[in-house]
Amino acid sequence: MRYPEEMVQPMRQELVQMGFQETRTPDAVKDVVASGTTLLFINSVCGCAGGIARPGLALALSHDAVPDHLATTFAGMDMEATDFVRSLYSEYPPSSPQAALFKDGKPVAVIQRHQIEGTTPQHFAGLLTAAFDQHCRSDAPA
Amino acid sequence: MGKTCDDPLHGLTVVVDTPGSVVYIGRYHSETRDGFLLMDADVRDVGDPSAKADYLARSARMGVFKNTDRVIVPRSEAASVRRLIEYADTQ
Repeated sequence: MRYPEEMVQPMRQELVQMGFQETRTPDAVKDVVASGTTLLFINSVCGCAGGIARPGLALALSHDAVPDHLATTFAGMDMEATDFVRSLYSEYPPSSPQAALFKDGKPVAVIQRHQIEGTTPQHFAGLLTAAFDQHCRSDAPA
Repeated sequence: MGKTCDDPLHGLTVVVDTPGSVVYIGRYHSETRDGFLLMDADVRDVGDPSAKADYLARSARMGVFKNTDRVIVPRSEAASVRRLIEYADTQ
């Protein structure tokens, strides 16, 4: 069941304003993760975690090492794209929100809803920047 | 009993542990007259109770392997209710 578009639009816009590209189809996802490092965020209406995650993303993106590409799909809205993203790391159960860092098409870090909910934007930003430090610096292992 | 949204665990992913080999992992909704209501839950019998720590550490790392939409865990079965993320330290 999809949410009314007008309900999720502000949450989509929050990410677009941070520089995220909306990837609403599997092909768009495939293209964006294909090369370099990509942070793919599965956006969510969930107040417990989504409301923490979005400001956490903004904080993390002020870090000195960040991914080459930023992309997003919306859980419950961009169904095919979200399913395709999850198929790329199918050993992890689905959650929303969810953040995954890809390097040259392969997932290298996945952050699940239970690691976000009940914490703070700073905590989530810390999880992200630890992954950025490990995988997005020019001297990071290939 | 207060309003559901006043419960500090409402919406959070928790583990309701039991004295035996069964463990419940899911999104805490509320405490009802009959027990703890969890949504999108993993109701798991790990067999050997000593395997529980490993299973919980894996779930804390990977997420919730949901197999049940909604479950009420009887209060009499519950030994503890803790957030799933707390089990990440036991890896």
